Amino acid sequence: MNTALSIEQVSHWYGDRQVLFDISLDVPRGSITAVIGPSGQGKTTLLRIIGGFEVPRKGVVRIGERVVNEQGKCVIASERRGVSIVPQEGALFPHLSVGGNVAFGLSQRRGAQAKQRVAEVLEIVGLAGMQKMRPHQLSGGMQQRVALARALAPHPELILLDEPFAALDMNLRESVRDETIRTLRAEGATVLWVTHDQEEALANSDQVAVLLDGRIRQVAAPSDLYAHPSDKQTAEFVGDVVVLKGSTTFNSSTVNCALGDLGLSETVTADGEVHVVVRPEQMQVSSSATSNSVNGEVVATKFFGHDGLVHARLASAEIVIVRVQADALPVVGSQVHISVRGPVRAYTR
Amino acid sequence: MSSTRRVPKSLLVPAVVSAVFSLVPIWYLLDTAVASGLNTALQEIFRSSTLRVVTRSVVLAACVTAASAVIGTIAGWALVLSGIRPRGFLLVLLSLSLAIPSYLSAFAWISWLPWLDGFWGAFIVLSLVSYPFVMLPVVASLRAADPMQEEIARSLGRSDLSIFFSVTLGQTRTAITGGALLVALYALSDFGAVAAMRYEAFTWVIYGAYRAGFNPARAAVLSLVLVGVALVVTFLESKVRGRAGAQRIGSGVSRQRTAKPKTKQQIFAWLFSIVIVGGGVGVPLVSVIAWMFRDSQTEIANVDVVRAIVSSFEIGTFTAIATVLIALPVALAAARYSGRLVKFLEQATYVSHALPGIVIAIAMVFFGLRTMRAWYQEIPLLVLAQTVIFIPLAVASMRSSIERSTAAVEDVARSLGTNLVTTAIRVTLPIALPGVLAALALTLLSSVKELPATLLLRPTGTETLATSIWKYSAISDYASVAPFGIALILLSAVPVAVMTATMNVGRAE
Repeated sequence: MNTALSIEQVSHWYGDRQVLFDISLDVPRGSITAVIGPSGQGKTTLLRIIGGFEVPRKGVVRIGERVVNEQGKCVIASERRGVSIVPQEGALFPHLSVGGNVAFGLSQRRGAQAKQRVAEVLEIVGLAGMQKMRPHQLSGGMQQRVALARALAPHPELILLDEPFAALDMNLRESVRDETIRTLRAEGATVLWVTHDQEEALANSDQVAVLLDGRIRQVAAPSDLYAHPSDKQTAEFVGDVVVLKGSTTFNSSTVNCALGDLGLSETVTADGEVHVVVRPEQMQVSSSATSNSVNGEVVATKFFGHDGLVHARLASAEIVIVRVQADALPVVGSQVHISVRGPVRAYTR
Repeated sequence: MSSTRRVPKSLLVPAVVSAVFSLVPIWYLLDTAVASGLNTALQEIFRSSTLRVVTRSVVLAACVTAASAVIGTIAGWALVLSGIRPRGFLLVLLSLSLAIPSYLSAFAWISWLPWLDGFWGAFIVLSLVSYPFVMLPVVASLRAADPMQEEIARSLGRSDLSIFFSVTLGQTRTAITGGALLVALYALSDFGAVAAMRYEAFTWVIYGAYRAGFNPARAAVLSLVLVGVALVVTFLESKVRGRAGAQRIGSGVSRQRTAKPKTKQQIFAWLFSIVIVGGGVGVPLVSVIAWMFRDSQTEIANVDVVRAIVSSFEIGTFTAIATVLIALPVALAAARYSGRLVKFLEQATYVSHALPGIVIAIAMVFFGLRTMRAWYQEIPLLVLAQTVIFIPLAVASMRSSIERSTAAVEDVARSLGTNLVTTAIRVTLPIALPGVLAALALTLLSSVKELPATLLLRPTGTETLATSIWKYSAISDYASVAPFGIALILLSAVPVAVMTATMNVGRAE
C-alpha cells in the first residue's frame, strides 16, 4: 500500500460544538502534504487526532495498514503509532542535552547504533557534533532543527509538523524552512504539516488540503489548487484575488462582468448571478485601449520594489487590483485600460 | 484551539487524595465546634469576649498591613528608583527580616524594652517582619514599569513628589495591594509575636483556650471565626492576584532610566533603609549576640543545642518529604491541565493558606485525640500538621517551575514511543526536579522555624530550636536562648540571602 496516512469521514466535537466535519484525507508515502487554513479552524485538532492525543467521535484513521482510530475509540495509542511530532516551539526536553533529545525515541538509546543514528540525523539537520549542547544554549532556529532531528531519528511512519516556523522571526524563518523541507525530502519522510501561511504551503508541498470552518474544501497539488480553486472562499484564501459581480448562463463558456466578456476555465452549472474571480497577475494595464480592454481610473498605487499594485475603479464602481512591473506604475487619477489574459473562474452566488 | 485535555486518572486520583487531605483539619474543627450542640457553638461565637478578640485581631492586622504597605512601598522605591547603591546588597539586607522568626524578634524587643508588650510591641514587630511581602512585589513591578510614563509626567510640569504619588504609585498599585493582603493574612495568623507580646489576639487566645483547662469547643469555635476572617482576606488576595496577570506589560524590554537621581532622595533612602534594617534585623541579631554574654540561669550544654538542631531537622525532613509528595500531584495537574476540577483541587489545597498554624495544630490535636490516639504527641501527627500548613507553599513553588516548560514536551515524548508512566519518569519528573528541590528546601526551613504546631504536638521531652527559644524566652532566661537563636537565624538567613541576591533590582540593565 502506498498510503502512509488515510483519514476517512472523521468528525470531532468539543462538548456540544462540532469542530471537524467529515474530514477525509490521504497522504501518499514519501510525500509532503500541507493543511492550510486560518487559525482556529481545526488544524491543530486534526494533528492531535492523528498523533493520538485526541480521540475523534466518528471516523477511521489508518496509519500504513493499521487502523489506529475507529468509531470513537483509540485502537492504537500515541506511543505505538510511529508518528513523530514537531510542535510549534520545538518543545525540546529542557533537562536533556541535544544528543539526549535526539536519542529519546530510539529503542536502544545508549548503544553504538544509537550513537551513530544521532550523529547521522544531527548531520542531516546541519548540527553535526553538537550532541553535548544544552537546549537553552541554542537559538530558536537551532532548537527547531534539533526538534526535527529528534522526530526523524526513529524512522517514523509519519512526521507531523504544527506551524513549525511560526515562532521564528522573518529572516530565520525562510532559511530554517528551506532546510527543513530539504532534510525531509532527503530522508524520504512522509510529512503532514499545518500552517496558516498559504504561500509557504504552496511553495513547499506536494499536496495541499484547505481546511475552512472545520471542513476540507479541496485537496490538490499546489499549482492545481491555485489555478482551480473549488469555491470562492478557497480562491480567496489561496493567493490574492479580485472578486467581481457577474452573470452567466448554464454551461456557457463566458461570463459577463465589469471587465467585459471573459472566458471561463470551467463552466457554471446554473443560470444567473455569479462571483467572478480574477487573479491580480491575470490583468494588464496600459495607456492605450485594445479590443478587449475596459476603462478604469487609478485610485491608488502601491510600490513594492520588485513590482507594484494598481487599484483602479471600473465603470461599475468596483475596484480591481492589478499587479504591474514596478517601473510601469501609472499616476493616481489617470485613466487606464485594463484587459484580462486567460480564462477566469466563476462561482454561483 | 480550545482543546480541553482531560487529566489522566493516574494523576487525578492522587491529586484528589491530596486535596481531601488538606481539608481534614476543617472537618475536625467543625465537628468539634458543634460537638456540644449548635446552640452552644453559636453562644460561644456571640459572646462579648469573642467580639473583643475579633476586634483586637482585626485592628492589629489592619495597622500592621497599613504600616507594612508604607514601609514596603518606600523600600521598593528606595531600591529601584532612588539611585542608592549597592542595590543588590541592600535588597538582601532589606529582605533578611523575612528570615527572622517573629517570636525571636519579639523577644529581642521586649528584652530591651519590657514596657513595649501589648499592642505596640506586636504592631512594631509584625510590621518589621512582614514588610518584605510588599517590598518584593513592588520591586518587581517597578522594574517592569515603563520609565517613559514618569518622563511624560515631568514634561507636563509635575514635581518629583507629585510624580511619585500619581504615576509611580499607580504603576505599583496591584503589587502593593497583593502584598498588603498577604501581610494581613500573616498578621492574622501569626502566633509567635502576639504570644511573646502577650497581646490577646485570636491566636494567643486560642492557645490559651487550649492550655488553660482545655476547652475544646471554645478553641474550635474561635479557630473557625479566625478561619472565616482569614478566608475573606484570602479571597480578596486571589482576586487581586488574578488582576495582576492581566495587567502585566508586554515582553519588550523597558528603556533604561536616564534622569539623574537627586542627592536629597538618596540621603532619605539611606536613612530609611538603616532604620528599617536596624529594627527588623539589627535588633534581633544584636540581642541574640548580646544575650550570649549575660549570665545564664540554666546551664545549656552544647549537647542540648545539637540535640535541638537534630530534632528540628528530623521533623523538618519528614515534613518536607511528606509535603512535596502530597503537593506534587496537585502542582502537576495545575501546571498541565485546566478545567473546573483542576481549579477546585488547587483551591482546596490553598485553603490551608488561610488556616493559621495554631488552628491547624488545634485541629490536629482533635484529630489525634479522637482518630489517631496512637499518634497523639508523636512525630507523625506533628509532621502531618506541618504538612497541611506548608502544602500551599510547595504547590506554588513546584507549579511555577513545571510551567516553565510547555505541555507539548509530554506529547512529543508519547509520539516517540514512551507510554504514560515512562513519560512521567523520563520527562515530567526531571523537568519538575528543580521545583521539587526548591520546595523541599523551603518546606524544611519553614518547618524548622514553625512554632505553634510544634509547641502543641511535639513528643513530650523533645525540644526543637523553636521550642527551646520559646521555653527560655518565656521565663526571660535570654542567655539560654542565645545559642538556639543564633543557630536558627543562621539557618534561615542563608536561603533568603541566596534567593534575593539572585534577584535583579535594576530596571532593565
